[in-house]
Amino acid sequence: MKRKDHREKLIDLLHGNLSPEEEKEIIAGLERSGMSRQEIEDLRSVSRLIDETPSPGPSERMDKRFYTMLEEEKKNSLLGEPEIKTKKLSFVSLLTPGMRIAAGIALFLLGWFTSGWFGSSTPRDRQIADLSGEIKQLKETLVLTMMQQSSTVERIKAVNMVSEFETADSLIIERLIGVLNHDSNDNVRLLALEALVRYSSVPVVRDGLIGSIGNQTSPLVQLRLADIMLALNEKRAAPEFQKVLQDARLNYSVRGKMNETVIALL
Amino acid sequence: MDDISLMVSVNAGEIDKVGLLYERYKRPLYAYFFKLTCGDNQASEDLVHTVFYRVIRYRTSFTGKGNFAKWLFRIAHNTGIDHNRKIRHVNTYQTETYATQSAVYEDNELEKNEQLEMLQQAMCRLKPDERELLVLSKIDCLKYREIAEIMNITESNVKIKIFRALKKLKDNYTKLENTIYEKERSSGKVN
Amino acid sequence: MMKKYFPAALILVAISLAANCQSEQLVINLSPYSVPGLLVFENPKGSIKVTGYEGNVLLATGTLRFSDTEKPAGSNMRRIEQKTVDITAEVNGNKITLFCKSTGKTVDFDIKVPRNFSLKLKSLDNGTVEIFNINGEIEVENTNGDISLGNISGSAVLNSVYGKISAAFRNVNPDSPMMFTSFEGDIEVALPGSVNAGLRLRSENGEILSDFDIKPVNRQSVVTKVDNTLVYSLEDWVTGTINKGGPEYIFKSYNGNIILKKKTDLL
Repeated sequence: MKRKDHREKLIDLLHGNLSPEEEKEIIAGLERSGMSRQEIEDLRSVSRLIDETPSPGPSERMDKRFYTMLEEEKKNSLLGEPEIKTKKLSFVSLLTPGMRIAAGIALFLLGWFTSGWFGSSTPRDRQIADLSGEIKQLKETLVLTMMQQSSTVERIKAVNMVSEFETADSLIIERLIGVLNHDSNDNVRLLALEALVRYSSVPVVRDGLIGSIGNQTSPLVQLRLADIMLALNEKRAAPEFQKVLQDARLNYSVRGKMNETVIALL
Repeated sequence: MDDISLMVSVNAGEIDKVGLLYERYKRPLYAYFFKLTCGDNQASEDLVHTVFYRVIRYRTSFTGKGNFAKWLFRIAHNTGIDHNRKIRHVNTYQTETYATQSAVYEDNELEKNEQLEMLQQAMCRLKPDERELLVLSKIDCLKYREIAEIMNITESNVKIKIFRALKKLKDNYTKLENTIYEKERSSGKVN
Repeated sequence: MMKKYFPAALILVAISLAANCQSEQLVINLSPYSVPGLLVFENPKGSIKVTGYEGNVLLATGTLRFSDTEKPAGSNMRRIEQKTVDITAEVNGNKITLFCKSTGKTVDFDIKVPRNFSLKLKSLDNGTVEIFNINGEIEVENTNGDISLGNISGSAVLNSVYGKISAAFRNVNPDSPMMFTSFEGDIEVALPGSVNAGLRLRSENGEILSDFDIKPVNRQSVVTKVDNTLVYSLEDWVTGTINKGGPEYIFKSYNGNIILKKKTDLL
């Protein structure tokens, strides 16, 4: 076994994760090889100071540049389908040019596939189906990423895009419920609630809505939840509303509505 | 989904998954370049962009074996070297603090942020590879063995060089501290 | 020599104006990399007024709203002024975050920023938020007070609980959605007549008025089955488009009216 240089030992020491006994041993060893306590402490404090130096963050311009480039590269790697003009969907205007081209290809392929231009299921059909599946995946990943952006406008766009999907998979639903419970902006929460209402018959969504009742402070969101629970005749929501009613700071109108709702549900 | 699974999906054709890796690593990469370039925000953003461009273009060179962070930072390391070749400039740290400093000192101790500023300056007086070693050693997901592979040296060499860099940093810092005290004494600020 | 901009994590700046010890002013010289920038500020108690102008300096002045000028009885007693308002700023690339410490007192802020700035502002209590002459993305939350926007280019997401919202846009971002919500107050928004947008409007107890030509869009009612026999419709928005349609502008109030106006030069 090669004998460790005392300098290496010092770096191990500074890295941490040593027990007090190991530390004592190493310090003693270092002193024996000629390092003073002061030297060791100096290096330790300078190393700690590096840890404390702040790191500013990058701007949103960097994000925009990256996502534009990503779209370009995705386009380059698709099967070289020609660009086709498409019918305008309401969400298309929300996408950047690169995304629009990808969406355009998707629409063309979907139209081609669903209008049954191919009589029987050929390998080409399957290829196209796979591709439209990939593109749906693309949209979903995009939406998920957008939902994590610090820009409120991006998060609003993301939630609105979900409303344009015909179906939403469980990851998106889960993310929407997270937004409803945790987003820093009440407007975004309101939109997430509206997007989830469409799926309120799905048990996971229903449970998520009930669970979010206690996490809201915005009167608009609280009232909308009360409306929804009443319309669904969801008795399990009543105890959640009752918990909220105990908060003395509750808005007067919301209190009235929630009381009514609880009475109607029970 | 962990890094390796994501890259495997990317290599299988799901290129959009790079977006998730971007979100995960954009801050550490930016911080890495920011420290290496001594505070050049524009260059740091450009370099991060180049790294991810190369991640996409050379995605097949990631075989799924080994740490993704190591592969990523090796690309970052090489990108930094290319950048340095293009720009031959002296790394003097320009503290263009665009805000006026408070002129009040509580006692003879320097404010914490002044300490940190001096450390930044001291860091920038190190040679680029010395600075890079210190920065890499602070990244959580990189072990010394991996840093060694990135820099093409042995693991024990890494530690010895870090030791030397720290010593030099400490010396630079002390020199800066003394300079400031001298300035104050001569301008009559400190009693 | 390459110019480098170094944003320190925390710049403690407090330049007291000699004139008035009840107010404090903060000056930040912005580098070219910082504009267009983002200003983030949450005022725990008090108003925020932001005015955009042509320039490169951010100037924030915080003034105590209630200054106690009553002198204690006894001729020889003079009040010795103490610092009560403490403004600090954190600069992170092109993002500036202001902090105000005032030990529970109400402090009104008057902030001048370069015109090309986005804003993320919050007033928790006791104040209005007013914004003029800005080109950027604006986000405001005000619990108790009104929100007013004038001569804005860009986009806005505004929420007030008890206050009124009024906003006048000279131009809008062609791709950005907008949202205006208030629980108690009226919402009055003026947009350029040529704007292309989708609309969603709802007021539970108030009215919706507009001089725009809104083409209604039939949105499918949201239906959900319960017990396989009952179907409830939960969709209650008015939806439509203006001109060619576009990003969605969403208006919601509980007790207030919603007024959507075509902007004339008088506004």
